[in-house]
Amino acid sequence: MGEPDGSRKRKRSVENPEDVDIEQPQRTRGLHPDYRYLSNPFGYKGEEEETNILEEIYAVIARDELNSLNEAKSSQDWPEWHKAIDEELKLLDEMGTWELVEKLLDAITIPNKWTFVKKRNMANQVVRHKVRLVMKGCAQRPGHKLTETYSPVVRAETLQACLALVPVEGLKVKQMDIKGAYLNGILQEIIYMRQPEGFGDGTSRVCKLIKTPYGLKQSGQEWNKQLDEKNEEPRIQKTHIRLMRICVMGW
Amino acid sequence: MEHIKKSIEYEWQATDLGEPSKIIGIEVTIMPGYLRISQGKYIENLLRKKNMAEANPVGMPLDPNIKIDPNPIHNKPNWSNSYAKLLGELQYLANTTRPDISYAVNKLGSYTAILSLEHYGSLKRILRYLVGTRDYGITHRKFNGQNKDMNLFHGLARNYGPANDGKDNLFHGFADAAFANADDYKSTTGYGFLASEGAITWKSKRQTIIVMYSTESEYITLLEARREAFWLRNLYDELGFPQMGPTVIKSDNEGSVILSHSPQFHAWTKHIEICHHWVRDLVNDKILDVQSCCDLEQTGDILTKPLPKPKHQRHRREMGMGAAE
Repeated sequence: MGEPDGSRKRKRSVENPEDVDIEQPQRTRGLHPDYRYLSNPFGYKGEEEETNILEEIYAVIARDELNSLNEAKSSQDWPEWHKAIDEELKLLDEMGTWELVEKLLDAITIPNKWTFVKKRNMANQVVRHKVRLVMKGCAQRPGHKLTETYSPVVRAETLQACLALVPVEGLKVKQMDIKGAYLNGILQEIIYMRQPEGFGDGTSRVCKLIKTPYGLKQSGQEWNKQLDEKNEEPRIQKTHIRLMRICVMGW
Repeated sequence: MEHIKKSIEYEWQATDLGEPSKIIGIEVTIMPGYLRISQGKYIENLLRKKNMAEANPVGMPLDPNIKIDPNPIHNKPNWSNSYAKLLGELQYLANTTRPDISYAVNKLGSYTAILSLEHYGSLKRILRYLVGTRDYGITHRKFNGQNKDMNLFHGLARNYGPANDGKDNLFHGFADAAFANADDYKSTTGYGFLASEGAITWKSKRQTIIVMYSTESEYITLLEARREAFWLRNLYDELGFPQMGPTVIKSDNEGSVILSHSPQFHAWTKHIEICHHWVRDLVNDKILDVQSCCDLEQTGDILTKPLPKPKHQRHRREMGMGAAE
């Protein structure tokens, strides 16, 4: 309301004014802990803290998830995690995801990490420990062995439009899950990966990728291409292909 | 079915999960001639997270008697994470299984930049509304005479028209607009499409241009609804259920219905942009049929303005929403 220009430069007058400048572009990383309190316009600090505690108990993805291999190693259920890691390595091996090669001088190796998720049932009890090896796709740079990443995902409307047909037309609904779906995609570029974190063979060799593991930017697109190619077979009718595609993309 | 399953299993390592109970987080209940989607678990989580699971329920998400002021106490813009976060969670709900909170979420979303306590209170009111309706979902069922009687019982005889009867049309729609009810005197679009007694797609959106007459805003809504109808027709066509007859869209504005059939009232409508007359083209091609209906039958009301409780409940029911049986 008609204030002088200088006032627009004013910094935030909440707890830590030196932390955030409104004029600066919004940062998305590294600000979170303080940002949470700064952003609260009404100063219900007590309520926020209370909510955080409750979130730990009830959230769909609870806060007790692990962030790194070291955390997993020091956690109580390491035996289960270790078992799950072995399973994942076995799956990667079966799929022929990579081959070990000597590192070339100019090869850029992309790091990887393990993700740990506890699958819970409706009563919030842990039923399964799931581990996945993911590439750090953020290490990839656009233009350098990375051009197209487009991959279609089913829209909620499409799913609902299909489900609405079920009672009227008397259709059957089935759900299928493709195990390690992305690992079916075949990589077009030559990309090197470091050996799995904590589970390498101790040599300086690196993994030359053949399939597209999770976390790589182009994985979704390559998997989608596989879906397209395999669906070209004449023995599946066109309408069925469409339905199947919607289903497979949805799940 | 079986050979599709086999072909998937032939190509990839797959596990058969049978009949789904949950698809990407949406709970699905399937019985013969009956399908219900809901997100009770998600709502329950949300309410507990906000410590509002035991709150007193209210009848409608926005109070129609309270006018929301854009900036009542001249606040400065701020980055309210908590407001935007809760709004995003509600938006996901509104887009997937809860068309009844769609308008409220859309309206409150326009205040994210400059907040006041009033807006936060309104947002919490949506949560209180969800407390009372937490297990609501959209029910799709096969059309039979009984459903029609049920509607008669609820007060008004409904003219289903050609939309719900034969196989010619799997879906029909409604389009409504609220004239100049946004803060910047823009109108609000609201349209939805129903298939097998339940809503499949819907939208509540502030229009992008300022219009002069309510007929004009309804006409723009028809265009939006038409685009959706065209897409749905294509989708069903591709899935092997081609739509033979024209898709019926109900509008409660006589002017826009007439305009969509023939170019009358040129003196008053000459400023309407050409693209908005695409509706007329499709009506002439018998792809679309715009029919008029009375105000009480206009389900699109729920997507364009805050409604009093009886009307809200009525329109909610007509979108196929209700508790589990």
